[in-house]
Amino acid sequence: MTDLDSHLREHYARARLSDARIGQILAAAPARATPPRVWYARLGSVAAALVVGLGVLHFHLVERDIAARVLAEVAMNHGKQLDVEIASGDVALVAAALDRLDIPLRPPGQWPARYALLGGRYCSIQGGLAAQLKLRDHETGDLHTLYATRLTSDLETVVDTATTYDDVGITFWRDGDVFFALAGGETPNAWPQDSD
Amino acid sequence: MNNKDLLQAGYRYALSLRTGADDADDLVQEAWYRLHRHGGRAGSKAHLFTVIRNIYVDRWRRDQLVAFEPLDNVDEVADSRTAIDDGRYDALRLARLLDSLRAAEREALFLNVVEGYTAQEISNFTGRPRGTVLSLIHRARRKLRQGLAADPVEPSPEARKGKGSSS
Repeated sequence: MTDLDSHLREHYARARLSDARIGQILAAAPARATPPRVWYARLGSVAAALVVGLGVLHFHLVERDIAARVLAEVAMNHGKQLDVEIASGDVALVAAALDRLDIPLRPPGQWPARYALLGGRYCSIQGGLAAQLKLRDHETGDLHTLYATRLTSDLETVVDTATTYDDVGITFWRDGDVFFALAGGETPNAWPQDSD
Repeated sequence: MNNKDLLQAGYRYALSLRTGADDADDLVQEAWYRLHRHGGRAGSKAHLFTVIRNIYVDRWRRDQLVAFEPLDNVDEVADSRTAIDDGRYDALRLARLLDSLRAAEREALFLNVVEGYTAQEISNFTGRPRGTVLSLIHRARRKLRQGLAADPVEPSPEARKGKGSSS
């Protein structure tokens, strides 16, 4: 072992995720402790009529779990306030730079006057490649984050959600096969529809 | 290895691919999700590394990871008077020098020195020929030693922009 090797090991040993960050990552991932198969196995001896009822309950629990995970991930990504990879106020330029996504990075229509675009970068939502655009709200001065990713069956269950998670206002919606999320402020904000 | 240790190991590996802490953080987060999608198991460290690497290649640097420079100018670094020997080691300088390495060099060096992979194991993992892996490790060591012996360290253009990889 050389000195260089030991210094390299020390260098990487110092690089650590915080406990809080690890907790966030674990929370945003699908829970492994209660996969559906386990529940079904445990309920195998229950009468068929009860299975039907529990199936409905299970569906709602799974849906609620998905919503919680997506909310946690969006709130976490927003809270990190990562630097943009493409710093530009021109949404077309940002979209051209983030060309690995073959979806529109913003809802259709005119760009709302309320938000100034600061730039964008890639991120992920539930394992799928997504874009996140950093915005400044002219009305409040707050930073908001607009996400766009391809709609999946999981995400489809949480569209039309507007709530507050970890003190971050979050709104989900869809436009065609694109899933959008807007995070920022203390209460959920809708994407302005009628802009000048 | 528990989940926490697995995530820390994944984060360090991600830093060897993409030296920006934010990007490494993102890589680990996405990889962790993909590993657990559909109720999957956490898997081994090697499995996590594979997922991280795949995401990295997809997202950023396919061309850089598969880029190969022939083994040339590999003159043994006989100069033992490195900065370390002179007692001028500086953690910050080492970090900046690591930033200036090509991603493939940094990755090979990390897997070899920090994770203890042999050249053959790195070859199997990355799909590069064993000779290429040896070359990458050798060049990385040489650059670090030379950099530590020189004053001062100039970060690469990409490092100055806050991006870890260099071609």
